[in-house]
Amino acid sequence: MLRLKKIKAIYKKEFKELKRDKISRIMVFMMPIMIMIVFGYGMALDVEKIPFVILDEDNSVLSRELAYKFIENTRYYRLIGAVSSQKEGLKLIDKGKIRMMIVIPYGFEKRLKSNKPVNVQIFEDGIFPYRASVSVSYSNIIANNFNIDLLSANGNKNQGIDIRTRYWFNEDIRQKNVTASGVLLIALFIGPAIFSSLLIVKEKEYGSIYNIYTSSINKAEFIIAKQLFAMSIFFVNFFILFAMTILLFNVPFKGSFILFLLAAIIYLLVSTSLGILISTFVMTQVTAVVGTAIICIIPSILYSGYITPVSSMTNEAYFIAHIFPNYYFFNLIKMSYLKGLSLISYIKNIAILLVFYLIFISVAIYRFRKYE
Amino acid sequence: MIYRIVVLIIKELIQFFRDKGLLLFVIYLFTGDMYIAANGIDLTLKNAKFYVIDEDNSFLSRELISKFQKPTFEFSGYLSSVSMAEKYLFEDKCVGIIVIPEDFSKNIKNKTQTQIGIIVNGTETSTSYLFSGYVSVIISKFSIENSFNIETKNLPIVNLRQRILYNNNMDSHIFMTITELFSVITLLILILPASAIIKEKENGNIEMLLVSPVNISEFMVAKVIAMNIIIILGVITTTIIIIKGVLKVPFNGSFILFILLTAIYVFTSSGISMFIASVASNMLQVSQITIMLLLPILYLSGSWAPIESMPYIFQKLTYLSPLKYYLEGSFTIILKGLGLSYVYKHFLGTFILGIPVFLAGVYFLKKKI
Repeated sequence: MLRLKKIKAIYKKEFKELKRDKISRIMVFMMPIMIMIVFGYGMALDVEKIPFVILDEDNSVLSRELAYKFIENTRYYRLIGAVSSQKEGLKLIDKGKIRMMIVIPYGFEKRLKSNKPVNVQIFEDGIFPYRASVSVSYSNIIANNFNIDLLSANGNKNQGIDIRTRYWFNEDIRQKNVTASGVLLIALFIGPAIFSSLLIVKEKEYGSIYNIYTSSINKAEFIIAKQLFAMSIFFVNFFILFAMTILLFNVPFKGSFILFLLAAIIYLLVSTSLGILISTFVMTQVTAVVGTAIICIIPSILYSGYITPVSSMTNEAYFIAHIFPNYYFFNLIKMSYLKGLSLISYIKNIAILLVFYLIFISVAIYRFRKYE
Repeated sequence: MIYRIVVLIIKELIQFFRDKGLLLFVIYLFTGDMYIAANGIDLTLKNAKFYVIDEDNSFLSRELISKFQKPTFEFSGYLSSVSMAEKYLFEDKCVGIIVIPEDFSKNIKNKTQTQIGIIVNGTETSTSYLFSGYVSVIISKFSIENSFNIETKNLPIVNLRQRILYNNNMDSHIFMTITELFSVITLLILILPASAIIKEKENGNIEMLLVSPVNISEFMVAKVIAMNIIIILGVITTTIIIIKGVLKVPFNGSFILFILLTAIYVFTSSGISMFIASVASNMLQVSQITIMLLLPILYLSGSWAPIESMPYIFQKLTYLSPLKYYLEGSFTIILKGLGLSYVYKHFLGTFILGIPVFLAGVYFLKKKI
């Protein structure tokens, strides 16, 4: 049986301890704000302003025209200058000054005029593969447009295919809509887990846990009191983060706030109980921090669908994504902010999160020993 | 004095190895974590699932679909209506849907304009971007090939030959593994020395030290060196066993040079950790301050997003992240295989930024104790 009085006592004690701790009482609220700013502004995955040089061996009207197609695309490319040899350009790539070199070969115009295809060599810096692959697709589009112009100028009548692209749920493809709202996924997982595991491990390390062992409080009461305290801190943080996504990053919100709040509370139950579960395995605070960070960062950032879509993961990764709670909460976030609510899907994801919570908390209570 | 420091270092190492939980996590960070990061995530377009609404259902439309091939794309099937498409996109079953209109092949043969619709799931950050780009390229190529009755080989057009330097297949495993290693190093160098010092504070051992012949600077130096040794040992083993062995990342440059750069980075960055230890008085504070400092250092190094696409102010701020110099220097050594004449700048950057950081850390910590 849970006795409210005991829970209240522990809760009060933690509250006083945090109030007394000058640094922590500010930090617990600053940390999520910091995460939001860094991820919200930082996770800009749009690749823009790729610095490049041109090596124009042909120096003809057509070659300049092709070069100009790249130069005028100032959103994606930034011309650094022209080079006079491949060696010079490659050296610039080696030094990291530029990311791409276009080599227009000698005889470029002549070949095209005599109705023959011509190869243009592009060197890309492949250190950052994502940047390279975006750059490859941009340059392909530019070359294709150049080709279509070229063919129609030669009297080949062609209307071509008109491609109409529409981005659903995020019409003007603002990446911030996803990266900023997705911060809730990370900040409400890592922070609460570390915080709640420290709440318990610190008592173990100081030895004050013996007071608990000898007191009349039972282990479920002790754990739930600690969890409630961690919950209430991050409940406040939820409102701060939510306000930031709406006011600072202008993310649209299509769902119901009450339902989203409920989802966030359940997610916090999952993350705090995971922290407590981890605390039953470790003895020192540094281990709790490092361990919880390791266990939480990978699933919440890499396997949640935040960076790469779960649907295109390989079998092994696809499986891993489904055995962590983050994927389900990210569904709820996307639904509430961008997609609009679907009640069936909402209930399904909430139910799965609740199962995670029940498993974590019951294993944590089972594993927590009131003796050593 | 040297003898005392050596004894203290040995004491720290023994203490570190005694904490089985921490030891296990650190070992995991240098092995399993690296493996998971390498295999879990791919920022380039891979296996992008898509469905097709084919109202034309002709030879040409099927041929167009066959152009979307693995490993970039994965064709998942046909859908009969837009409402189905809506459902599939809502459930994140695919990245995008291609809509081919009824008179597609007729229009192509008559050389009149035709439309193709692409519906992209806008909630998949980077992938939706790449998906629409790649699809457009394939469709316009297809359009050129089919609108002219000449073979493409003989058409007077420009063909791009792209060569990806240092990483021919645009393999993101290499990048992910190495940046993950750097994140791990940075996390550990921020938290390990600080927590070792805080532990003494919490246990009240600092008072004992004050009355012992050991002086405080020796004591701190010993702690820092001990943690540096652990991290550098970790880096050496990971590089040899995991990076070169299991993941088969090509290591083109000088291993010694890389370890030397690592040592400089690790040693100077422990200044930040000492600073944390001077500010914090318990582990909760250490963990919070560490995360507050770790995230900007990681982000500003350019390991998440390319520096040139950051907002202008952030681009300038990147010079303040010690990891930036270390990261660029290491990539130059490991992937580009270049020698000291290319990376001396990164060495200097790591060093020049690091020394004041280190000294400031020592200063603050000494003042506090």
